[in-house]
Amino acid sequence: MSRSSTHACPDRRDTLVAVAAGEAMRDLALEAHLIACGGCNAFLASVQTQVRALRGLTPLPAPRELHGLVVAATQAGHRQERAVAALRSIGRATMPPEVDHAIWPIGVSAPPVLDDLVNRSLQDPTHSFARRFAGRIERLSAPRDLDARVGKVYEFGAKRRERAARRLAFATAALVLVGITVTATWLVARSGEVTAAEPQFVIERVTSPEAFDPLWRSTLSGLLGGAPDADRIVREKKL
Amino acid sequence: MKIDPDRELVEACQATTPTGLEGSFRTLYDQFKDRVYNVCYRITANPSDALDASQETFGIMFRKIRDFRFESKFSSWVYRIAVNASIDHKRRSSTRALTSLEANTDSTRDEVSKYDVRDERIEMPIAAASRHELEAEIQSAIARLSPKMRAITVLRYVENLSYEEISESLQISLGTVKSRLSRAHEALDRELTPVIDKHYLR
Repeated sequence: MSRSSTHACPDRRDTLVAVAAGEAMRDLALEAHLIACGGCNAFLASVQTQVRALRGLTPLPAPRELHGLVVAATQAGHRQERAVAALRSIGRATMPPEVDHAIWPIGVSAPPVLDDLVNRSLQDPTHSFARRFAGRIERLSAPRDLDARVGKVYEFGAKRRERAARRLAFATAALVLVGITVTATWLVARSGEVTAAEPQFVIERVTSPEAFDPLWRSTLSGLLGGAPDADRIVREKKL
Repeated sequence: MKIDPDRELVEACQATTPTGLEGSFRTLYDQFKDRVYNVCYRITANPSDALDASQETFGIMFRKIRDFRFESKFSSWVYRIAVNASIDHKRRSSTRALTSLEANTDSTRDEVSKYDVRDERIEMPIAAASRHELEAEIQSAIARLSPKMRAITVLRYVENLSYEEISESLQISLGTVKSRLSRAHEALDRELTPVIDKHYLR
C-alpha cells in the first residue's frame, strides 16, 4: 500500500492537491521543489491518479421514479402551504357579550376565600402549592387486618414483658442471696479473727473417771459409747 | 458580483404560486435532477437512499424557493441542500451501513446495475464488468471517508465545482476547502491505492 502522503512536505500538500485537481497551475518554484523532493513528487503522482479515477466515475442519470416522488413531495408541500394560508386567513372574532352572560350566570361572583388563597399563593408559593396538593391526597382507612396484626403484636409483647419480669425477679433474688452469703461469710470470718486468735489448752491428768467434771464425764461417755472406765483408758494408753 | 445563470428561472418560480411540478418548476427540476441525484448517490452510496435524499432536496427546494435571496449562487444553495439531505439520510440509515463491506459492495453494484439506464449491449461484457467493479470499488472508497470529506470530494470531482463554489455551497472558507480536500486525498491514498494497482490505472 502506498503511503506517499506521509512523505510529502506538509506545507506543500494543499498546493499539490490544487495542482492535481486543476485548480492551480504549476509555477517555477513548485517545479524546482518537485525536482528536489521525491516525497512531494510521489504525492502529486498519487493524487493525480486518484483524480483520474474519481473523474472516471460515470455520471448517473436520475431514475424515472424520482419524478413521481418529487411530484408527490411538491403536491404535499403545496397542500400544506394552502392549509397554512387558509388557517392564517381565518379572522379572529371577538366573543359577543351575550355568550358571556350565557356562560356566567349574573350575580355569581368569586368567593371571598379566593382573595385569601391568591394572596397566600403569591406570598409563599411553595407552601401554598404544598397545601393545595396535600389537601387533595386521598385519606385511606386502616384495613381490618391491621387490628389483628396489632393485637398479635401486643399479645406477644405482653408475654415477652412477663418473661422479662420473671427473669429480673430471679436475678434480683440471686443477687440478694449472694449478697447475704458474702456478708455472712465476711462477718463470720471477721468474728473468727477476733475469737480464734490465741487457742488455749488445759491439760489435766486424771486417774479415775470420778475425777472428771460431770459435764466432761457425760461428754466422754457419749463419745466412748458408755461410762468411761479409767483402767481401760490407762490400758489403751499403754498399748 | 457574478450573474447567477439560474436567476431568471428562479425568479419566475418565485413569482408563481406552485401548484405542482409544472412550468418554471418543471424546468428547474429538469435542470438539476441529475446533478442532485449524483451528489446524493455518491454521498449515500445507496440508490434508494439517494432517491429519498433527492426527493427531500427537491421538496425543500420548492418549499423554500420563495425565501432564496441570491446571496449565493442558486446551484450552490441546491448543492448545500442535497449534501445535507444526503448526510442526514446516511446517518439515519447507519444501521444498514453496519452490514459487512463486502455485502454492501455487492448490493451497491446490483442496485447500480438496476438504475443504470445505459445500454450495456453496446459495451463488451468483460469491459462492462470491469468498469462496474472499478466504479463500485471507487464508490466504496468514497463511502469510507467522513461525511465532510465525502461531500467535498464529490463536489470537486463528480460535480466539477471550483474551490470557490464548494466554499459557497458548504459555507466554509477557501482555506478549509483546500485543507479538507488535501486530507481527503491523504485518506483516499490509503483506500484507493490497492484499487488503482489492481486495475492498472497508474
